[in-house]
Amino acid sequence: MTDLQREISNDRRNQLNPYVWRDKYYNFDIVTNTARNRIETNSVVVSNAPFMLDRITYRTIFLQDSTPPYPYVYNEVRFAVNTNYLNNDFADSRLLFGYADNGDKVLPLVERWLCKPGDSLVIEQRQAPRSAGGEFTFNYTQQWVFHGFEKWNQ
Amino acid sequence: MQGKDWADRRKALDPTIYRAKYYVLNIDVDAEIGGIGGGAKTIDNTPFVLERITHGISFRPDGVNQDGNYTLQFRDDQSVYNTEPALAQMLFGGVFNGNRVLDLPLRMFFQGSSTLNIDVVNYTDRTGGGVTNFQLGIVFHGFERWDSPRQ
Repeated sequence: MTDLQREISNDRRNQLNPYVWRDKYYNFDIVTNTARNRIETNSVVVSNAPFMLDRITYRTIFLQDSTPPYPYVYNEVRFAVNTNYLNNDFADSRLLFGYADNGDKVLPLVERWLCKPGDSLVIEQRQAPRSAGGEFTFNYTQQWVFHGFEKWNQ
Repeated sequence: MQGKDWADRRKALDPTIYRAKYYVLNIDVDAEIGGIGGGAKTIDNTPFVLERITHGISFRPDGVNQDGNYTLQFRDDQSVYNTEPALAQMLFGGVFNGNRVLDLPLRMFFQGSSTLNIDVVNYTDRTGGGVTNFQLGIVFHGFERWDSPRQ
């Protein structure tokens, strides 16, 4: 984490009352492969407390041996809470959320997003129209983490 | 400085009223030196507040490097926002080469159904390997008012 991001992070944390909000994250994996236009979706349900979403990170795990350097994996994602926000276009995930490979390129959401208990956090992940490794298709797992705060004093 | 300002701006908004929102624009750009591309995105019929722009070469063909050697010009229906096109990474920072995304100095407010335009000029010869064009991805990050918490 850079000094800039630490400052942002601390600042955001300081404005929240720790007797009301605590750190919380949700996560899931999406198992897919690099076939063109391959679509996979996964979701997680917010538990019985309001959740304030602050940032989304992701990381690729290669399941199948691949000769380094690993082929680029082009993901297009769209992101939803429940289903009322699926009208966004697909975009390269690095442009949307930054890239968490080295932990220092994460883009916080422009604004926090307050989710109710029972809301679903959904990622719809589509492989780009171009194959990642030429004509070679390989499997991989994409891990997604939703970072935020949970209201624990209700 | 930017981080502090950014955090201050985020503090000012109630997350029960405003939610993050983004729009995507993919532009085909000619791979030769001086090659141009352009595109437009019409936003939903909801006011949109633009906070940052990110960009990068998507689905890049072989031999096309993520070098940022292209300029962007940004305007809407009424106004041109950078009169002299500059390299995109100088204007908005780059996602691919680091975390140096630059938020806009001031948020821009757009009425619903406004159209955001981007013009691109390629500054590097990317025609190796028979490539004739490449696709540049643009994301407009911002937020919109959802008026009341969802029921």
